[in-house]
Amino acid sequence: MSTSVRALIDLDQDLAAAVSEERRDAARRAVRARTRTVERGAWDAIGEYGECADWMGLLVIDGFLSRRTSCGEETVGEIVGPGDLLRPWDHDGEYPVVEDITTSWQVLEEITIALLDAKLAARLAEWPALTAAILARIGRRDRWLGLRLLVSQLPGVELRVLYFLWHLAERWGEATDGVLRTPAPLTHEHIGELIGAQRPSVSHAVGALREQGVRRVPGLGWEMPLDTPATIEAMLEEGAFVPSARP
Amino acid sequence: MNVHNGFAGREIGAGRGPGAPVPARDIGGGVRAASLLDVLPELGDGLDTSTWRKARVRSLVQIEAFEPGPWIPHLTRRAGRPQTALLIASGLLVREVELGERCFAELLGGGDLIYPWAPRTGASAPEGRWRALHGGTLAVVDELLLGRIAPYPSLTLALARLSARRGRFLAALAITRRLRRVEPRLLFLFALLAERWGRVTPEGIVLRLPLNHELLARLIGTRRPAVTTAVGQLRERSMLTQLPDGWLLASDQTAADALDLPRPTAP
Repeated sequence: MSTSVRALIDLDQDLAAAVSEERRDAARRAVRARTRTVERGAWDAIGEYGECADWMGLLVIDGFLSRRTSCGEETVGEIVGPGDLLRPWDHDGEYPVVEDITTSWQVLEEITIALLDAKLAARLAEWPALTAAILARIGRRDRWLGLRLLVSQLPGVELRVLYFLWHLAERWGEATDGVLRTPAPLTHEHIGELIGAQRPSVSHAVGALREQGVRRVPGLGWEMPLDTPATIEAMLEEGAFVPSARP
Repeated sequence: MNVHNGFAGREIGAGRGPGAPVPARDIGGGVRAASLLDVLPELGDGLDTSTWRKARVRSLVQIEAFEPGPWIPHLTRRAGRPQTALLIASGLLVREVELGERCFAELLGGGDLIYPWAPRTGASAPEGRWRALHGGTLAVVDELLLGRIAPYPSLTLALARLSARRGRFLAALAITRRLRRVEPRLLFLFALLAERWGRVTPEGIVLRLPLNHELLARLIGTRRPAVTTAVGQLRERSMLTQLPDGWLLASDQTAADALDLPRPTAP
């Protein structure tokens, strides 16, 4: 684990837009955040930060993780990445009707997080536009979550996989060499948790989507052609079956 | 998975009831305002009396009203910005997002913080639409308000907590998509909704929510006819009953039966 202290608007440059240019230097001096890294693997975020209710949150600067919500044998995932705000301490007993809902965190790719602790939250109070921008990150994450729920009810796992990967790449990926590449090294199981499908169904769908140019780049992410939206459109119109997969 | 009645002996529900009025006053130009602490008193939890009084005066917030039916987010005399949030003080809103023939719905009510002007998370992400099941009021949470409440960081943190709650509800709602049969999906959904909108009665948990079968289908990710069939089956087993103005959810054990869970054994 490495730590450092840097200006928040330098750590997350999108936040700088919330501060007028003439005030940015002052914001750099006033709002500085500690950062830390978390290595790939299971992360006990609740154990580490469960008592930090007076913090604003943990802002993801770099890397990706999955927030896994489980109930009984069922698990759903949410992919969280740069710009997202986490508040792992907000988990306590809010669903007394449905017992056994648990949350866990898995780092998919080493993350760097800015610790928006109580002291920083107090300093942020003097920068309301910055505070509003940070709170809005939670709203953006809600939109992302809503979209994922919509994806999970699309007909056909192939369409779900393709639409999800495309949207993931749109949000955090990059276009290179005629393809769009997702950033996170997601396994079939991760994708299943994210789109509401079983791993074998995802593997089957991934096999079928190879003909559409979708492939996994070991250790990196997934890539797909830039004309994937046309394929998605066709699948939506044709009932979610990839043309090549039809009998 | 175990669904139980966690409400025995208490009333439940977040914020105001769907129709509860918010004490707002006209501050000129057609703009209405109220104290944030009157809009959602729970935000002031933890403040001592003296601080609470000062914070109540400072936390003046613009209030907007909405009527039942389709709702297009807008503000009186100014434009909404991507970072402008609306705190639902009362009423009941539905956000629906369509893709192809599928539609996802989310139910939002008192205490929820929404960002209707936030940019989409990608060019291919469909835009959602809003409609109100119950009319109500919204408080505008923007940098002007955040500046006014700067001396009271606990209020800002309380707003952050409210913001995050919606995400956790969505995450729990996602569990319904993993359940194969529609009956347990419905019971799971109602158990989640009951946490916020349920009221314990001798007959079970009553939810005064105007949820028709179509909306239920969108909430749990299935088709309306499947919901109608499931509702019929659950009614026959006295687990879920549609009321003229809402729903009645039976006790924990009948819900557990529906999920094919073994009955707990006595110690």
